[in-house]
Amino acid sequence: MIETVQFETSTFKSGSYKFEAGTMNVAQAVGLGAAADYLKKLGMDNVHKHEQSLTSKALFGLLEVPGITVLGPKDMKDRGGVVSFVVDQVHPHDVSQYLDSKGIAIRAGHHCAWPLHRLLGAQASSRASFYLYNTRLEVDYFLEAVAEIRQYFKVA
Amino acid sequence: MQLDSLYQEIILDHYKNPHGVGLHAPFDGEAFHVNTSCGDEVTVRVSLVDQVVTNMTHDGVGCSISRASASVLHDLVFKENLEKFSLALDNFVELMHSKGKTAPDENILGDAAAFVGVSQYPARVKCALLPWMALKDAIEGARR
Repeated sequence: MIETVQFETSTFKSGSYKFEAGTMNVAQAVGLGAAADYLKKLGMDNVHKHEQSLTSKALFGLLEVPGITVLGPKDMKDRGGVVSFVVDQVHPHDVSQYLDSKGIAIRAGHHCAWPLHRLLGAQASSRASFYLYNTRLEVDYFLEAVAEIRQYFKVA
Repeated sequence: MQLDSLYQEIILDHYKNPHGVGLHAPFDGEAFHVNTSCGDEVTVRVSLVDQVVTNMTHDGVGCSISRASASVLHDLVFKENLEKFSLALDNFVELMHSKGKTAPDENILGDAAAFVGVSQYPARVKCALLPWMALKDAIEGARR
């Protein structure tokens, strides 16, 4: 926020107040443009292909891990870049805490979808998301870590 | 591994074989608490004779921390004076907010001392406190 404005110079309010209302989201707009350019250069088809390859590796990998239930369809039809799953006898927040300790960030909880979870017979769930900057090696690492969870919590 | 300080052996044992599960009846006070950020639920029932907890039971769904916490709490208050609970509650709340800088007092907390590691994971403090707050409410209900 400004204090005084002249043609040659302006003064601003002190401290954090100088960042308050009055300045448009210029940095964000420029950032959005740069991100769009970046994705266009890569080609959205390539981005999609990469995401699908990672997600499919994770999905079919998870289906092979004992004690893991994948929620929703068990195929890649109409699937985005996410896989939701439940680890038998281990609460999703314990799942995410374990993965976090391995440097893996997932989302856990009811995902603002309580009625759906009730329908699926799950109190909450874990969800892994994949994007451009993830690699196939990371999916392997993720699957390895998921397979260790039930042992860590002594339910396997 | 640092994770082991959060999931201490005692906690995992209580999670696997919880004490005081299954709600008793008749009872004097009951409280149902939910952790809205994750959906964990716990119901706590309490029976009192004079100032003594003659029974405390619980049931619910939740993570290992919140379930084990309810189990530990059962052991702590069962057949004990209410004063013991209120002293332990103050102590436990302080411990949970200590960010790992306070050493737990095992004389006051019993197995709940094992939750010291939780205080280093701010997102999990609520899980540990959930049954404690429910018991506090159940006792207040019983005294009304």
